Amino acid sequence: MGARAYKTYKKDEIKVLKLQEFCQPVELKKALDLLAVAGDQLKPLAGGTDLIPAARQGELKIKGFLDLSRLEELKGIKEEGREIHLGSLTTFSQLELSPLIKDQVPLLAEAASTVGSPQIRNQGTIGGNIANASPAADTVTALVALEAQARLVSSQGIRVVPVDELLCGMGETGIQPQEIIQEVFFAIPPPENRNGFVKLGRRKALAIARMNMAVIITLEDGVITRARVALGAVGPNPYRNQILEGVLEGRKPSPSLLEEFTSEAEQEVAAKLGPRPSAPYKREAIKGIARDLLSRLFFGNGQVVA
Amino acid sequence: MKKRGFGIGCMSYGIGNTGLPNPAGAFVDFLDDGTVIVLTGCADIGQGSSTILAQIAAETLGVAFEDVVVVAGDTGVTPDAGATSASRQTYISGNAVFEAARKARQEVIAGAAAVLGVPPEEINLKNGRVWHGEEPTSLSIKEVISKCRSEGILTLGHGWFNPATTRLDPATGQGIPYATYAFATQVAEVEVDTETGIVEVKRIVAAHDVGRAINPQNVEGQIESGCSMGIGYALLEEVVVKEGEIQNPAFSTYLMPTAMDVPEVYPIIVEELEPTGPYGAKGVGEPALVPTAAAITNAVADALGLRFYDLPLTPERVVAEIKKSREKKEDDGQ
Repeated sequence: MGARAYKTYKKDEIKVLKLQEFCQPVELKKALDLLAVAGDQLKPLAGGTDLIPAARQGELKIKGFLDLSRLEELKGIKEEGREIHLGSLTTFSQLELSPLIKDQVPLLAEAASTVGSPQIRNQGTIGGNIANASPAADTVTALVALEAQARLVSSQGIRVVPVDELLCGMGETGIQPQEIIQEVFFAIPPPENRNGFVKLGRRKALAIARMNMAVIITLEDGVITRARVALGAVGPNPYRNQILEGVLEGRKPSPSLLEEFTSEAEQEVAAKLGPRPSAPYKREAIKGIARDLLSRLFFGNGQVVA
Repeated sequence: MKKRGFGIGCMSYGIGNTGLPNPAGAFVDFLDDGTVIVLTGCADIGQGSSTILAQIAAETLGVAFEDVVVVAGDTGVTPDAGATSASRQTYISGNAVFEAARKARQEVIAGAAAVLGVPPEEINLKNGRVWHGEEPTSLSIKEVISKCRSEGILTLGHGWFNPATTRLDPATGQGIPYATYAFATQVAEVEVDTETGIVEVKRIVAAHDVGRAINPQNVEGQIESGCSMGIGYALLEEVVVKEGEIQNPAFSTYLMPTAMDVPEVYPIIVEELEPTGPYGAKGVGEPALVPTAAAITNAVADALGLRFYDLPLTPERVVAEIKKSREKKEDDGQ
């Protein structure tokens, strides 16, 4: 055993959570009034899985948090006609386990189930996943494929914005400081649809997506009449790729279509990533995850193992 | 495309510190209510040494495991047992406890021989009773100890053990570095995705010669967890150093396998008894980890037909190596 050097911390280097304000309103109206006054000095706090570590690191220039956890108006998974409405405080665990979500939009349940660990899934929320605007947000890729919309509320009123339009780059959104995401909603895909989600991580749990992909295809008489393909961790935010959707639409699921899709996906990823150091790996890896997901959606089974 | 492969890793591993004295001591006190206190410096850091040291004392003294209290790793009261390292505690502290218990046992046997009027060598202690040859007598161990105490005789013992090693010759590197060795063979089954480069370990079969498995369930636990560490070594764990500074000094950046990444491990215990070990025991701590990465890397070579010489087998390395070999084949073809 040799001598070891341990880093010693000065008192002001020790990372503790320092806040001047903490509000926990029980009514949405009260929360919106508080935000209207505080502006960007009060940050809405949902599960806290991203914000608390950031605050401890001193990365947030704010006075305090507006804890949303007691706002009943932001909770619940509901089916309304042909739409599903998710309160923004819906946790990943709730999505993963909801019979409605598993039955109607398994891609979203699958995406939620790949987030972090059980502890993080019990705490993290769908609203937070959008507001945090990580390039690798798992449920956001699924929401983008579902063409989900976010309902934003403030003391000034309500506005509804498609999730993909709300995302403005890495860590950036169009959510105003006085606004809260109340809910996320989307149309249930047509009955003849198949959908799924796949994630590439460094390990099977507690891993940030290196890439992820969500696909919804609608089949009529064996032909794909409508396709939605979303990719995550390829650009600054998850996005829909209409070129890949175009590869699938009007075609019948077949091994040759699968090959065509994977090679097109490789080109799309290569174009999107340009000269980034991760590009050589990701352009190859996208083929593997696309093959995994489409084998499942086209033929109902995993890849054949040679 | 996914490809399957199988690989074997074998190892031999010295038990104890290399070519150095590394003794351990123990005290055993046989109390007059028939219970036993074991004092050992052996730190149980989760591997279960306190359990097996209690088993060794109980077996030697002929009492129930539940009647043994182990006081371990308390520098205020326990003798030195060296580090919990080098896969050494079962073998070395196990021998120290065995020796201490054997001495306490001799005191009890001497007392019992006097009561029964038979030679001490015909007496045995088993299940809390004194046995004469193959037959239990009406005398309990507790009664013998009470009698000893009434006569002013204490029934305790101390013991220590140092494995027989020699220093290594600095010129030749030769010598006797270890008193005994553990052996193992592991087989790994993997599935490799040739596009994502992800290596998924599907199964590990791990056969370990541990000498006597004092506590087989404990040994299986050690083997299974050693394999999970070996998976990390093979696939995930990488210290990234830049200008002398470690770039990934946190659990969020230095990745280890999660429960989700560890497949079923099938431990096979091989008991090739070690004559110098306590009841024939050797050790299993580090050996469980040693052959795993080799087995996995060989399995990947079987799946892909490609040899890897750097660990961990990250997806990037796997994909890059596949690409390199494909390009080489194309060049060779032209």
